[in-house]
Amino acid sequence: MNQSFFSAYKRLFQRIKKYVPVYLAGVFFLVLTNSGQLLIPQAIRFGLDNLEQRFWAIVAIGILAIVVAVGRIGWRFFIVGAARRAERDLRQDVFYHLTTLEPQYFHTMPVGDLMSRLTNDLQNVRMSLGMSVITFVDGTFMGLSIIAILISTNLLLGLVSILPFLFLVVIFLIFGKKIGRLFSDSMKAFAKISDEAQESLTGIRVIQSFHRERFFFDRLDRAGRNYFGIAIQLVRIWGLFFPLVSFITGMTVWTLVVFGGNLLLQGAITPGTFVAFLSYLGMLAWPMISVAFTIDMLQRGASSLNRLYEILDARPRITSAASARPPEKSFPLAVRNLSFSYHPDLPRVLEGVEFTIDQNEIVGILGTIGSGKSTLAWLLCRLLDPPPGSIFLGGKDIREWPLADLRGHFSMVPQNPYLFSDTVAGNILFGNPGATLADVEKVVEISGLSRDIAIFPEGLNTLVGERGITLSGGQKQRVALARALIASRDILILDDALSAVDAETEEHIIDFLFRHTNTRNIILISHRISTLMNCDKVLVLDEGRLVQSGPPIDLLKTEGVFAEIAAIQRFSSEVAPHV
Amino acid sequence: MSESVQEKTFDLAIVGKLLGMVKEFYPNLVLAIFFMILSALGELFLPILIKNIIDQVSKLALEGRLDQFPISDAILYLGILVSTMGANFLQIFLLSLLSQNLILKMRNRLYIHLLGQSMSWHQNQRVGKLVSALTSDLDTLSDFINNLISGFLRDILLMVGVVAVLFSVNTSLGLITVIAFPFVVFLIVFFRKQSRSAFRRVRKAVSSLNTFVNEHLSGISIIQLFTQEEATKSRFDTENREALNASLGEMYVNATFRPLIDVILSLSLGLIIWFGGGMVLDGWITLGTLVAYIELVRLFFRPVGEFAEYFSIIQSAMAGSERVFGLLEQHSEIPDTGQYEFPRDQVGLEFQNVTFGYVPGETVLSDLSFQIPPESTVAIVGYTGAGKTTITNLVARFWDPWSGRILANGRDLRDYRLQSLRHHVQGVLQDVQLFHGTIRENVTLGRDIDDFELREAARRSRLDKILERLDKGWDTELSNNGTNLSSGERQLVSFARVLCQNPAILILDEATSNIDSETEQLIQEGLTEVLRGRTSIVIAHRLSTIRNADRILVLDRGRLIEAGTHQELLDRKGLFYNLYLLQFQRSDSPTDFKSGRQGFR
Repeated sequence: MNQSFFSAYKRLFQRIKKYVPVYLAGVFFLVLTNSGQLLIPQAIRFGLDNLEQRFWAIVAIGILAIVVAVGRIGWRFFIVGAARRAERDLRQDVFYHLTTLEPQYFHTMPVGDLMSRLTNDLQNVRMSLGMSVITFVDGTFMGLSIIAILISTNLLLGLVSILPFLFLVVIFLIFGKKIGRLFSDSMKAFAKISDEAQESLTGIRVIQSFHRERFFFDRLDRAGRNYFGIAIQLVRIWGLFFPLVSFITGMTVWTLVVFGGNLLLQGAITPGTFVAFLSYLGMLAWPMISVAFTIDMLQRGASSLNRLYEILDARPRITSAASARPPEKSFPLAVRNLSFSYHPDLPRVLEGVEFTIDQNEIVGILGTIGSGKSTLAWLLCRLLDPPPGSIFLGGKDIREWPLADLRGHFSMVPQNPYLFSDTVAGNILFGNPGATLADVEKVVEISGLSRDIAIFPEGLNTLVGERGITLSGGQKQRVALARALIASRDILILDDALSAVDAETEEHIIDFLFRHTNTRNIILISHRISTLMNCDKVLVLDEGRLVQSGPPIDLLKTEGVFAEIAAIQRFSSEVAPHV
Repeated sequence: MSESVQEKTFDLAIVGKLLGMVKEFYPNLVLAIFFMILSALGELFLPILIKNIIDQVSKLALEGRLDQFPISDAILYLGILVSTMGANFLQIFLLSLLSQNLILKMRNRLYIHLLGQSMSWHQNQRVGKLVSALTSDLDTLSDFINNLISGFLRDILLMVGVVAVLFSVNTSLGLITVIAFPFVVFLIVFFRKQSRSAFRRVRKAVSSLNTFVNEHLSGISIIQLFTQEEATKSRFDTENREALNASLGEMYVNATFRPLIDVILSLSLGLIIWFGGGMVLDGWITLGTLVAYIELVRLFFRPVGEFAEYFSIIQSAMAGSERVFGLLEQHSEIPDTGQYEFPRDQVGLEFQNVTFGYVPGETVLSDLSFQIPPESTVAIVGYTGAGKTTITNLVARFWDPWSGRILANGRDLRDYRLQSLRHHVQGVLQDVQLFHGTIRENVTLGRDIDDFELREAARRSRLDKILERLDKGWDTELSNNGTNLSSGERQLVSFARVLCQNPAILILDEATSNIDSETEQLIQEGLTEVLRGRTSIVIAHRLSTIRNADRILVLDRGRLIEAGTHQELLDRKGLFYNLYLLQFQRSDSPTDFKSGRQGFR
């Protein structure tokens, strides 16, 4: 247990201080339970040693049993309840904090990893907040009391009969680490099987068409055998645990019988004491084991806590400036000598890009894969952070804008439309929860979704499945478009947003969009020259540099990337039959 | 993550099937049960030995022979203790060996089975469900076997043993213990009902919460873009609150059950002391017997609390095994009864009156007939839903036609060995599927392909251009589905994979989205070379493909409406001509189109 162990819990304590009274109540009930349990053997002893007055012993046992039951219910309510509430609080802290972090963060910390922290690690913390408090109190109060009672009743007998338990604790401390490691290995091996199966069943068509069933079978088989090996290794050690506990308990009884039997023989102890001893020893096993458990749980809890703090300590990189106030006007959108790279060690994605977009201008962006188009789109609405002094809205550096106000000027249809597992209407309304049904119907119309929605079983209330799985690529893109439109922002960015829609439908949508939207600016990223021809101005990006810009008709006549691509598309262009 | 709660009552038929799967482990099973019985007997015998020792000690004390401790009984006790531990460990170990072997075997069998099912079957399955059948459903079997034998059966044996011993020694004390039993059974039954619905609620709430969190973290940019952070937080709070309430509800149920069982145990103890004490006083039983009783009663009640747990584990294992066996019993393999080897080259294809649909009643292709001469390229054009992709599905025999025949060199496709057919008929699909592993593994898929052929495939697919850019070249590790490559790069890898196979028939679904024109042109250049001397079907999206094709088939709603060369079709001035004109006019006169828009603004 090192520095980080204690600091982890110290920090946790700050957060859950408010549950201290609840915990104290829980500990009170736990001690009540323990005391009741400790007194029962005394009642038995009294009854056995004074058989004529055993009625009172039975009355006592009955009362004690009820006290124990009440105590047990009480401590569970309070301690387990507090632990679960603390878990909820912690989960809320982490989730709230995550919503403030920039999207970039989720690349360094993938969602799968975050999820495992929010489930497994949070569970470990809950265990250390609940179970370990219980085992700690149990272990110390029960364990020490029993030892004290045994020793004070009969020093020699007490010492001798406790001996085997110490042995148990030592064994557990030695093997505990190895068991812990094997457990986590086996969980990883299990996850590996699941990954293999997930991947190959998703790609079943490829496997069958290349007839590679054997190859993929071997992969899964290998993962399965690896898991098998670890499971068997685990049971070799872990399988000994419970038999060993029974054995040690039996040993103490044996020690008691051998030594105590002699004492009984000599009349040094009464039969009642003998039976009481037997009961106490039976109660001692778990508190002793729980000492080892508690240590293990607390250690796991600490490392899990630290994994959660890693998230909580991630500083949001994109925030509002301290004295941020939005300027009066929100035009023009000016980009000045913008260079950007995702990481200082990585090559620049954008290099010295400059352009201005005036109010009511429709601007197209053309570029090859990796030329920085999407990066530019993200920089404009500060989903990525541009360097200071490179992007201005209404004459003010967007980094100086209050974040929510800035984003309030943009809406976007990203390249890969992301939908939530909600209804179609729910997904559209996400762009503007306050919108009316009439608004929804209007954007549905503009996005060319009306026909699709007419076929959907529940119309607008059709569930789209996880991430919109039940929709086709084109439908997803158009729902995302509707969502962007209903937000009704000044600047609409379409990032290759209709790539899965056939050319004719795309023309129709774009045409409709230009006619019916109140959006004042549109930034249109596309590969299709025919689409870009509709813009007032086209920017051509090549390997992060702005190589051409101007009205598309002019660009068509000028030698350069735009004209080249237009030529390629004219001769091999998407022919009328659409996909 | 959205597993529904699965329960099923004990089903002997399923147990029989499971037993059938572990035939070669019967000695193992018998041995494990033997050791289980041994350890249970040991545990039963220990209190009796203690009784003997105490009785002897009391007797010796009465007789004044204080120095003669019954040492042989003490040694016997120690011996039984050690062998009980050994037997206990052995039964746990043997059972784990058995259950892990069973799981491995079942998993492999199920996996082979799943890999062999037809695409039409797979299309209707949720991958997540199949994966959990291969993992968590099978894993419940290990809990099941361990809990059934080392838990349930052993505890039953112990309880029956305790009652037998009690009755054999003293009927009335036996009766006292048994009286408490109905109360306990009642409690278990009552509790189980409560606990089950509480548990169900927890599962549902937790799974819903996790889905919510997962989805919203994945879509964080959308939340921030639309500045919906606050709304998202408040929806999260609702989910989080329900998860807490459900988990507290479960805790309340569990927290009351165990203490109640313990009250019953203590009350029985009290009764035993009351009556037993009286009997000792009256000289009916010895003190040793009373002590042994107290120990036996503990032994009797110890497992009671576990029973509820056993039941739910057995139930979920039953449900899991039922799903696994259910999958194993579904047969939807493409029949592989053909004898002939598929020809290596010079393959001509013929569709004869082919009618087909994916769902009964919904015809996709109707009465389709056409021929593709050996080593010629046919382009298929048509609107979405015209049935273009379906043709590729039929040629590779992922589906068989409802009626009509597809012939290769005059022989029905069904007469070829499936493996041989699939080897020589390859499709490049729009949906690219890559696997974790190196680029080389993704291209070879574990086949034995020499370096020369690999390089050739890379050159022709233009994958070599990508490999040059990567530090580790062929040995670059890909993540699941190759998400660390761009979509264009992924497409090239899958193209190279097909070219390695050197198929006799190549089916190309031209991809449009996500590839920039330059990369597209690179592929086009390579394609000319690839298509030469090969029978190929191209689902065409590009004019150049159509121009270069030997023949063009125009499909409309599953029917062949026009066929011929590019020029012939243009001359015919049919559907093809219309579409062709429409597109060409647009790309030639963009200015008109634009001015049209401006007029409306």
